[in-house]
Amino acid sequence: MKSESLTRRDLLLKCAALGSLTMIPSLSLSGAAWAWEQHDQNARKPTAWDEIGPFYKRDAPQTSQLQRRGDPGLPLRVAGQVFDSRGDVLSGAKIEIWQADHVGRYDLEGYDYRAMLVADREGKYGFDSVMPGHYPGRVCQHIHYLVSAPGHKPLITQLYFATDPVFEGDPQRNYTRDPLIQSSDLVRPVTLVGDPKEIHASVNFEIVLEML
Amino acid sequence: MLRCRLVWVVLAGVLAIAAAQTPQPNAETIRLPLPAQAASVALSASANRAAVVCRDGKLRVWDIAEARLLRVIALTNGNIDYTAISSEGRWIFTGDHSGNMVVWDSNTGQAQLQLRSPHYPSTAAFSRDGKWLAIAPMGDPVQVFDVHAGRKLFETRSITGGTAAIAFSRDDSLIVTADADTAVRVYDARTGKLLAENRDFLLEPLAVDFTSDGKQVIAAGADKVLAFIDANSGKLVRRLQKTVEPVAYLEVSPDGAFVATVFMKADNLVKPAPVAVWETSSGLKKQEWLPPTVALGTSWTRDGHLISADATPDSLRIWRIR
Repeated sequence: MKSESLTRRDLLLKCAALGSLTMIPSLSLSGAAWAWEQHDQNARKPTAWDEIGPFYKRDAPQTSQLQRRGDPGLPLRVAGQVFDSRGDVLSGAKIEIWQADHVGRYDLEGYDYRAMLVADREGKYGFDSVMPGHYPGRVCQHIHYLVSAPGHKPLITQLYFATDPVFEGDPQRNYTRDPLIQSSDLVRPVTLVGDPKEIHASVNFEIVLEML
Repeated sequence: MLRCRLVWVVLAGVLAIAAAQTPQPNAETIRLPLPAQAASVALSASANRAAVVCRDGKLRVWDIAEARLLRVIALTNGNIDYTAISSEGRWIFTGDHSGNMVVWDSNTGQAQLQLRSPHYPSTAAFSRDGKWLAIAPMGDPVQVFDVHAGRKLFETRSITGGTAAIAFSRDDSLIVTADADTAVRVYDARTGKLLAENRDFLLEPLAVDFTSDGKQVIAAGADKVLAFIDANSGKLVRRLQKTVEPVAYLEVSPDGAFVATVFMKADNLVKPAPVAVWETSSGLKKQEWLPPTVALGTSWTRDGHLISADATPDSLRIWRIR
């Protein structure tokens, strides 16, 4: 069966004729075809998964300020937006993050460098932290994410940094040096901002959830 | 500068001598020579067998008591993430980082069951009678297979983050899982029906086993505490004293009187962490032993001894701890 020869408009017309598609009176066939194509054009690839690791802790506090005043380490600002795979923003998505401190230690007793965020009306989120440290037994610096939203498959993943010395400046080529990294898309560029006395790193990490 | 270095050299020497002289109570070794370093190990102490996957991509099956190499099986992918062995020693599970999972018949060296998963294995466990195999691919539900028939029996419901540890009860009627969403769950091993759930852990439980009568579950993990849980209701029965490090593995002794725990160094996962033995009735720690390198496998023998394996570049050392 050669369905690929049908245009979106032809397909909608055929479906409407066969009764497998019903449209509200205010929506024309061409309007529906245009809207459908727009959705296809905005479609986004779901964010790659990564394993959860052994130190997830539930009930993290809702805060965007993980770095406390005086905490050592390179200040880090992470921001991004949460979408579904059609490209629609996901407001209200719950984002749990946890990471090691600047010397690679996880806080197992309390909630240092652990937080829960809620994506805003535009699906945006952000938090202030420090660049996580390396630790023996794990190759790359990383921040863990657990993202959930009603009607979507929960995403567990990790954010990596293109400036990590492990990648030697070429994460596209060297990301497999950490066997846990499932996709080079998880390794994000780092921008250093601020004046030399108060420099900090800035990273954008967009998240796309699969619909159930 | 030179003086500083000299102090360090002297200090290192003193520490090395002290370490060499530190008594290792009850520890005797059997050394199994290997042509390549062991990467993944499973011990079936009751059957006196060790399944050892080495960095040369080969699975070696040893008779521990006789220190005799029984079989060498060439693996298609040596990048093995998890190895498990059935208690009678016949079946050996290997799962690689590409999601290829195989159950080997150690009597023949042939593959009994071959599976392909999108994700690599997080953990796996055979039923006590060796008939069933429960596998948890990373982030995915637990899948239970009939090893002889080579077919999937059921899978549990999906848990966010997947499962870190699985154990069957002594009569194989129950399965317990330590799950990444911090819950401990008990399932009917024949149907996969969820029977009980415990949500007292804040951090992930990483190790589970049943008490010998199957009435309770012992679970522990990053919360650094051993919790006894009622297997019927999922309710917490009691907790033991807080441990210094997270628990990575635990196993109840054949007579049920003791539980062995293998710790992990949270700040340094490649550094050796102690193996400890606890009395289940009193909750008291009866023994602690620090392996020279990271313990790769630990198991109770049928007659109640505890053995543990660690690796040197060219051998696997089996230590009798208790």
